[in-house]
Amino acid sequence: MNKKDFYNLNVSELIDLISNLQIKETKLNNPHFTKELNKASKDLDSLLKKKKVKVTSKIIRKIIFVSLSNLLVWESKDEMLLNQKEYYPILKKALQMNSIRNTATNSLMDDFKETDFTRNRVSKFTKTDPLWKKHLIKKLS
Amino acid sequence: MNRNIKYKISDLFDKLTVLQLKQLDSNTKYKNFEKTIELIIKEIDSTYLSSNKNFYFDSKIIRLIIILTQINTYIWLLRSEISKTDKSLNNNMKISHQLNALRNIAKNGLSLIFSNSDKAAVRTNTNKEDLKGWKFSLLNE
Repeated sequence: MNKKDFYNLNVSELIDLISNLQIKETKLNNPHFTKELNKASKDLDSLLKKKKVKVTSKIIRKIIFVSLSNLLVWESKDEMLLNQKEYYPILKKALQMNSIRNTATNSLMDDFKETDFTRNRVSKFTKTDPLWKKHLIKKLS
Repeated sequence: MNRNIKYKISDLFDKLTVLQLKQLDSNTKYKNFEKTIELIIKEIDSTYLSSNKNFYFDSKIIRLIIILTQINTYIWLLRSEISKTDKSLNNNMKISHQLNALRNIAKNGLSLIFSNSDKAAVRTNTNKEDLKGWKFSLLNE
């Protein structure tokens, strides 16, 4: 194996990681997460410098969705524990958001020229999707 | 029709994050939100990103978008809480007002990248007063 061959996070995985680290930096207020954010940002910049991908609002929308869904899934977890009667409906919505987020991260791999089906995340959830979810999956693909 | 006053790019990014949140929150009006989202996407790309100056993705742009999305989500969740109960009303109102200042700092960061010569794009309400916690380290740089 070549010395340069290694398995590391790609751009879309780093975006997802940074979005989660940002939630932790804000909510848990531990300097460890700030350090991790800085490390992940450096990795991201070293990848993006080579790729030179132009900013477009369609890609921005996918990044917004990743950031938004990660935070709402985090909040859902808290809500599920507080509101046991609504446990399963909240869990279902969280898993639906999660699978749409996976569609967005898979699509970001194409946008950042790093398509690799072995890294694709599972975007299928229930046997039949509700119309709103089908719509979002189509728009974020 | 040509207008003299147009939305600044940071305002359009901000609207995009809020509309994406509303679209995800509404299982029935997603098509109406999609129409406005598509208009915003078209406006950003045609007015700000198709000029001679090419903008390429870097970690700062991505992190500012992630932060703007999450701050808007926190404000949305606080407003939702305020509409349901008077418990902690003053505290929730104050935090959402202070988070608005952080949101403006994030928007100013984006304005600086995409329209640095446009002084009118700068938001002046950036005083987060005595807000404790709520760490977004990038906004301090």
